[in-house]
Amino acid sequence: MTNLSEQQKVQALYKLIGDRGLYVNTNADVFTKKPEEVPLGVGYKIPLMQDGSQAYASPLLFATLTSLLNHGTMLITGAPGVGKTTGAEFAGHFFTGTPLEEILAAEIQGHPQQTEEKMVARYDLGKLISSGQEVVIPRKFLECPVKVIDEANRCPPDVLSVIMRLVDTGKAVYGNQVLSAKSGPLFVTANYADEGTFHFTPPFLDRFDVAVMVTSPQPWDLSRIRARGDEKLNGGLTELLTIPPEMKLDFENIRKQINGLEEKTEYGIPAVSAFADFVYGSLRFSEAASDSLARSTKGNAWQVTQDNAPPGHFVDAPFTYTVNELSVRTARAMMRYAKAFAWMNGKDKVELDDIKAVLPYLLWHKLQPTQKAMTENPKYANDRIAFVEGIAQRIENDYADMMSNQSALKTYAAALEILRTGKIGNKTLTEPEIKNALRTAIARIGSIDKQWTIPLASQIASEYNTRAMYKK
Amino acid sequence: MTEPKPIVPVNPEGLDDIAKSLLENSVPEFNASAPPAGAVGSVEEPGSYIILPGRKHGSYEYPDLLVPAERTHKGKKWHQAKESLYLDGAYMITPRQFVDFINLLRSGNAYNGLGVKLDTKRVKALLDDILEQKDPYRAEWLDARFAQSGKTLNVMYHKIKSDGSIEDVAEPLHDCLMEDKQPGISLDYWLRNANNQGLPPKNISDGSIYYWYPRDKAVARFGANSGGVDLIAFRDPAYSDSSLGVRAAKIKR
Repeated sequence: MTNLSEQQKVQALYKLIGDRGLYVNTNADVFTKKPEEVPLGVGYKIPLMQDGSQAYASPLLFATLTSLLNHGTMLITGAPGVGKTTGAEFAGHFFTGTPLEEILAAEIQGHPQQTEEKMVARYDLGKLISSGQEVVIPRKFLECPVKVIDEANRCPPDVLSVIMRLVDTGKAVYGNQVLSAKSGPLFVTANYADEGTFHFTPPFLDRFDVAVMVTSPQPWDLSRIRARGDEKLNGGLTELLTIPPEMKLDFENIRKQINGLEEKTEYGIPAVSAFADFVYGSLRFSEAASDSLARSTKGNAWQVTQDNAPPGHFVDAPFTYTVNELSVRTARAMMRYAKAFAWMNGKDKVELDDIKAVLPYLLWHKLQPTQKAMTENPKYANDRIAFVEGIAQRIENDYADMMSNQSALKTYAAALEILRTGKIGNKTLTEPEIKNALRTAIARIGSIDKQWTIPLASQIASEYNTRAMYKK
Repeated sequence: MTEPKPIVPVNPEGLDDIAKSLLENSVPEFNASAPPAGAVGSVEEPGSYIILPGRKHGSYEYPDLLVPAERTHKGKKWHQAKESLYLDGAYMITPRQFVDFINLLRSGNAYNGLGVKLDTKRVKALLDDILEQKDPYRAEWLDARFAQSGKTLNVMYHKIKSDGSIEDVAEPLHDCLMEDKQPGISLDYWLRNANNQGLPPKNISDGSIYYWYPRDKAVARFGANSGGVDLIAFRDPAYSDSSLGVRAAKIKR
């Protein structure tokens, strides 16, 4: 095995972790192409991957992608003892090259007595006592490229707020000193709620780019896990943790390649970003928030929410299924992970399939279902990934509906073209003519009873208003 | 300042023609005295329309309308039909207006858009076209879309405001028959006792009209062929058929 591309090395490492029994879970739930679904008589469907596609288990896949990104943040949830923490530790080790001992030494264990001093930094007591000097010594956690916080929801809220800042900015403050954390992935594990856990707030959850639900291994996976040997009997995993020299990764190069990956474009517009923005726009809207379009967002629906508002005009639109909207942070993460996923699969362009594959894992921990959603499917309380898959399907349908309405889209594009050039063909338009044409375009688009017309019509007005401001 | 750019991919072919139409068919300014776009359309052949006098049913009312004798916009899905009608300055009649329209025809006091009373033969032909159990299949979309919101089933349809503009509204479904009857419900009883939303009451007597009650995500449709006459309130809006059209109604000025 020589001269492997960086993608091939990552794929080889992904396989190696499974082959060595370090993280075995054949519950493939992420596919590069929508799989065939074979129905079982008992009501379930079993996915069979299509020819030429790839299938991954989400915990290891996203641990891999998160490790490859500069400041990736990943939340790992699941029942105790299913491999949440070890999976993260092994992925961190293999995909960043950081020795496992270093990762373990820096790891923070969540518990109610956890303090800032134990996690972030401490004063040099010798110097403090002998000379009164306040010299701050950062904890290993800050200096390790792979950061793992185990069972974070056992930490009290004030400790979580320190972690929140660290996750968000890569910085922590101790005493008067701002400390920078070494760049690299942050993995946070959390068991499902019990009497000893604290609640993660929505702002805290929003900090995580991606989240996975780890399931217990399939019964047929246990023999492979046993085959790696029992470290409680044989004392260690040293050999199994060796990274073959030909699989050592060149991170700088990988991050450059991922960053440089271009999107597939249609008529000069990046098609993947367009879809990602449509997802964002579809969930952002809230009729409950205000009668003004400028303030009709979920973020402003803080008293009358999507849950306690009377039915609005759009009773079945995707936005009616979530209480909250997506943050700009999430909108950016969508493209980042879509790119990393496309890169890992050896593509030279990011396509719609890439973002659709990763989307549920970027959103499920952030979106809160409405009562309407829970009434439609009570299992959404457990399976938030299915909840997001359901919304994503609705959004895809709306997107397809919009893309098939060429009359509306061309009216929209024609209006923007008039604004851009001030002309129709070779004829230069007067300002009143431009305004009349745009008003007509807005009225035509607005006559269509669909939520997706609102951003299109609003953009025309917004572009006109901005242009008018700067023409003065 | 960045240049205006579409946020979604759009095929640029034919944009100039669309742009010209924006200029040529521009809508009036939206100020207090101007009628909103799309509310009223002109009628080229008033003789082919029937005047449906304005009515009030509880809180629902509408002004005098011109309802065409023929169905148009055939082969379109429900949403497509609604959009096309709007762009034509017309709209789909609601189940309540449909009931009033049939009652008007059955009363024998129907007038066309020129103010000429329809003769008995013409009225019979119109009623047969709507109600007779015969082939070919004839059907029409009605403006009622049903959607579940929590525990409430809502119906969405248009209302005509006092200034003539159209407003789509959503309101909880009124008390109506919530079970399928195949067959059927009594046509006479339905036409006499339809609720304010045009749907049959719970206690309706049996008859020959096939009835499917309103369900989430469905729309309303009325149709007939040799197999029967049906009022369906759970039709898939994405369905289309070359025999399925709409009555492109306009406000009578």
